[in-house]
Amino acid sequence: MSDITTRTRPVLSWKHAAAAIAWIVAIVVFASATNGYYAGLGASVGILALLGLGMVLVTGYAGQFSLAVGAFYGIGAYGSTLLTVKFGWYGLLALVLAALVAGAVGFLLARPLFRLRGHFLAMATLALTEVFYLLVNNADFTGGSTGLGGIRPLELFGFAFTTSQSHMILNWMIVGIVLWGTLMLRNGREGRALLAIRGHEAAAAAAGINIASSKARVFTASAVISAIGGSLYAHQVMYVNPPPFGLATAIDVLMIAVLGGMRSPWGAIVGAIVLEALQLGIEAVLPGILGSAAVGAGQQLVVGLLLVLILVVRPDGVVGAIGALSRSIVRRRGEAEAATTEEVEASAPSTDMAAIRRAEDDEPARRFGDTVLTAQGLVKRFGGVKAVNKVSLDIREGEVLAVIGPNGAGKSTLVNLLSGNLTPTSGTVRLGDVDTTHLRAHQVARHGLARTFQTPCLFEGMDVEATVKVGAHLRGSVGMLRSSVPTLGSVKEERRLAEETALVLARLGLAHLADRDAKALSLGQQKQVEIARALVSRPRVLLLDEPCAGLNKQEKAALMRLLRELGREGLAVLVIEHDMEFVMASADRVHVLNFGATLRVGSPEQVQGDQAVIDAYLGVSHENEPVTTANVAVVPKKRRKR
Amino acid sequence: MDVLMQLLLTALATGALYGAIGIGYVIVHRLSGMVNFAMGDIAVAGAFGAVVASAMMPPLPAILVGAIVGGLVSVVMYHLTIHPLRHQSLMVQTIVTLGVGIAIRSLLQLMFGTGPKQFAPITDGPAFDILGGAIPQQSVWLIAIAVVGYIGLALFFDRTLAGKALSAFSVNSYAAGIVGISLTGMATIAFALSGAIAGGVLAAQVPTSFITAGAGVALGLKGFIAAILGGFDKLGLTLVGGVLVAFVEVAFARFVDAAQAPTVVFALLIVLLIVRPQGLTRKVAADRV
Repeated sequence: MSDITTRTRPVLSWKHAAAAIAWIVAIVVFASATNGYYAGLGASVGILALLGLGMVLVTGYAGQFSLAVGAFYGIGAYGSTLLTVKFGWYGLLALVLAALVAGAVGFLLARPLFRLRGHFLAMATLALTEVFYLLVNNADFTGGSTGLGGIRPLELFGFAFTTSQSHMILNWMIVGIVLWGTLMLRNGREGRALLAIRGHEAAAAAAGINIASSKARVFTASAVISAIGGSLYAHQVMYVNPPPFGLATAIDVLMIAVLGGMRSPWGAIVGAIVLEALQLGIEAVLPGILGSAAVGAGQQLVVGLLLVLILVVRPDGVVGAIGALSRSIVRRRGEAEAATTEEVEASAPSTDMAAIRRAEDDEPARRFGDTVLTAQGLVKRFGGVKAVNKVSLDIREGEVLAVIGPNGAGKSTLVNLLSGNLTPTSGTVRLGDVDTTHLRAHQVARHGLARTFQTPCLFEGMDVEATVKVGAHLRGSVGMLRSSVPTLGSVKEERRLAEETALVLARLGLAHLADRDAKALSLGQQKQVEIARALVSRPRVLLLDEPCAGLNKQEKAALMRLLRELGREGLAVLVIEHDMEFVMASADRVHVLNFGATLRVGSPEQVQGDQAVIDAYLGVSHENEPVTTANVAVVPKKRRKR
Repeated sequence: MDVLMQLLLTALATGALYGAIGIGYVIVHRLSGMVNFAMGDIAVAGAFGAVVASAMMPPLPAILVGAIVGGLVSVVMYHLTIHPLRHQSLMVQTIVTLGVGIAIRSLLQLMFGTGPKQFAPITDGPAFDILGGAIPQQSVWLIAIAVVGYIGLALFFDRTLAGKALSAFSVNSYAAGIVGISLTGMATIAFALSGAIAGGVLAAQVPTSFITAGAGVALGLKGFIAAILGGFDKLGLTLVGGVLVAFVEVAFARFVDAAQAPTVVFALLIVLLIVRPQGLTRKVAADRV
């Protein structure tokens, strides 16, 4: 909803310690200054905030709309209750086991559930919450609809949490830890992966992110957090019955998200506080209007109406509104700086690509290395259409191969087959010694293939630096837990990734844009950000799908020089492009496709003079009429496809 | 044999209801690609409209009033909440329909209380006996109303200009816009039809059992399964899907455990979505999201 740009800050600093101390002081001061009633309210707001944070992880970060929170909240509450009341377990142990059970259930359900998207995921998770509700409502061992009592307060090292004040302190300490972890995650390797998944799944997969696994792990984390909230609830209310774990809770959490906005973990805190205040206000005002009997339904009515009203008036929530304000201030400051840096670039070298190439060709010829990528007899059928028909190609280390052909020749499909975004109908793809024909995109990326897309696929709400860093996903190994609770090793790794990212940004001349929202850049700059994202993974093969679209002459020349340089460094480059001047200057070899099949393969000079290639581009004249200048004036089709 | 026949007849009547609510989902989804989470509650609003009207008129016109109320609530909801948010993400639209659902549900509860409401059947008299199973006359009316509604909708989409325009919109809204079909107009029709068929058929069921203000969630989920089985596309298969869902429900209640029957049905929703999202059709609608 809101689009708070993630930015890379120093991973740990004294500010964190100061914030932690301030947090603890604030909680203790509030708890000791208020009476039991307000402390009790504070405690329940803390539980709501926990549930909200769980939602931020799955929905705010990963962009998956789940309403399953009620079920996991319930597993925590009923788990703690059953284990302590029926089996006499120690409270903390019961809490841990209940959270583990919720985590396990979440992990097992996640893979099948997250094959669904959008409304269908929402409906399936809503059904999940209903199933849980009905199960505990109908089962005998959970006390049915009357519920279970007799739960004892939580004990920790001999201290029993009996007063509302102690509940409040305990809950908000846990909220503090989870909030900190959630905030840290956003700037860590796995958090970036989640935001990338939310932004564009195909691009995330191309960067080597295992989407199914990422979603499953974040759903598990969210389940564990919700279950801890449920356990705390059970020990504080000391009585559980089904209603708090049904659809109503899911709606409350949605309300938190809508009030606070979902993109920032702070939204969950703000939303929980505002929701509780709203509920109090409703309880105070409603009985006077509708009579005391109507409070339950009246409260729901107000919540429902507010949910609708807020979304219609302000779809990104309260925090989103504040965020938009602060961003506009930051941007104004940033633009002043950017204006000065861009002028430096004005004195750029020559843009005559052919001349640059001739100068390079005068140098001693370089030899290509081993074959890195081989495709054999690739066929891709879409229904009755053969988009790619028996195409074979190979690229060697250090070689720049251009694939050209008229619109609809199957070029982009070919790239998708090579990168694992599509699976061929028949034929094989090999990367080095590995058969990658049937591997998924993120697995292919692991074998050293990186790619860009025809229309830039960047991630919403991410700055250029973070966007490029997503490409470095495979250069790191820190998991979700170590992204949230940084260890020395993860801090070090993050620093290394930042350095590698900075190098690539500098090489592509994007350093001055590092903190800009990537999606707000010009098309040409977005294309370059994509190339940077591909390069930072240090691939063996780089696939570029129409990198020149939207670039000006000078940028094209710079890109051409970059491709030649990359070749000299031993990278294998496959580039699809319509700009013939660019293709002829940058390619070592040109592969021409027409109607999905290979038309010609050869050096730029051979292809340029080939009659079949010219015919493919200009259309064949069937009546043998001489080609007149009027016909030739038709420029090769250069329209960008959507 | 008698037992099976009885189950079939019961499932046929209940299934026609689930199918009608499912058709409500399908009509809106075909046009806009969205799932209306307030569907069940809109149907319940229609049923209560019929309950109120039944005090002033005979049952059959009261049921018609129920259909009109369902359609009206649906259209008002579209214009007040979904139209202003048409450029927002599907998620925002989903949350809004959930909010509308709660609002309708609690408003009905405030107006009519939580207790059951009922009115007289269209025709009095003993239940029909078919091959050893009994079916109340009102249930036959319900099935007839659902089938007439289905045939009417099918003819509308196939034969009339407005219906064809609506179909065109669901195939390619961009192209439909170019030839001058207005989204707002089409959406108004779609939401009206969707609310009307769900509200009308639910109203027809009220005399055989009863209606409560909180019934919308469960009805909405069961209708949703019917819509999955219809592939979120085919009206006829949705009706068939409704009967299948109802059969599973009554059979489980009869042979295993009546209390857990809804649990099994909701679990079936999850399983179906994951294992066979295309339902009884060949095309996966869930992929269009």
